[in-house]
Amino acid sequence: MKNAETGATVEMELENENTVDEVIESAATFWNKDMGAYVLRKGKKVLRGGSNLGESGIRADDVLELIPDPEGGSL
Amino acid sequence: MGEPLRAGAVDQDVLDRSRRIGWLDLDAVSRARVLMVGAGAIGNEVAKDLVLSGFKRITIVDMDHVVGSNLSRCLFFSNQDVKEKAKKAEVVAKGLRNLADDLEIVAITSRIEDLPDSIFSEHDIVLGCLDNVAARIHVGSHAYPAGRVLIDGAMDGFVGKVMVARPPDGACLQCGMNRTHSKIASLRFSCTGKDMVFHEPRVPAEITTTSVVAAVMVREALKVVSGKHENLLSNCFYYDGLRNVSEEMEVPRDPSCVVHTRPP
Repeated sequence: MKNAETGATVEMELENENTVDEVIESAATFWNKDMGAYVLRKGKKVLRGGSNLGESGIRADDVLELIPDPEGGSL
Repeated sequence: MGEPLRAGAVDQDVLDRSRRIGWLDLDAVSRARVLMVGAGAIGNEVAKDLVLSGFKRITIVDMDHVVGSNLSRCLFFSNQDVKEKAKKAEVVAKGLRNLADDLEIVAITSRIEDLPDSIFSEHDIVLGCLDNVAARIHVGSHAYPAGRVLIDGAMDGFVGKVMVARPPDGACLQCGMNRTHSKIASLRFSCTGKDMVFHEPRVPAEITTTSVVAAVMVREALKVVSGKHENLLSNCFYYDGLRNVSEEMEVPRDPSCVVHTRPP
């Protein structure tokens, strides 16, 4: 797993049944991320929150990246 | 016979340089009815780019008034507007009228959620210039069933994102959301359903990222209106100004997303 904001990486032990939502929350907690929206991507593709890793085609040794999903624009 | 040719006439035509871009359909651009939701930082830049690009029919929706911290990113706002607590939508509308004469600008001071749903189908394209997930969900879940392309911009510091949601086949905004978005959206509401006061995060923002995001949004709007669909973003532009990275990402359509089954 790669932290897009810092470049830091961490190895995660995951099962096919783990959901993308669970992976995002685990990684965000591990890196003490501020409350906010994040997405997980593999290459150019953003992974769907409710899907599990098996459905998303994630395999061992794949590199996933946690990126912030910006919210601002008006204030 | 038409008008006689005059020397130097091309330099009197405001859009002469745009007309030299072959694929730009400036007639379609001038006829297109644009709904711009949000008249803050991104909204100021988007509005300016829209009018300078030849868009003439623009509805601006924003509930807020101008405050001092807006002035570092908002071209049309002034200290006088801060003193008068001027409405953002009205100030932007006034600023646009100074840029061009023949505009049809409508300024509406309201939450988008409080306007009739028909406002989406009454426009040809929607530009989301918002600052929170809850309003994005509302706009996204109404523009898509109405069959309108939504171009949504967002930023956080030097990171920016533009997403293009193209009905009936493309992913919508909600397809790209997950549980972290739901948490933020739910924090904005109390158990009575009213807006909470204490969760209004002040997102880091500065003008250079705002400008990039707004420029990409209006460029995509020009492509949509000119029928240049094959060159549209498919479907997310991600920009990190600190690392000098910009790239296109794919947000796949969620087959279980409720927005896609919602009637217009």
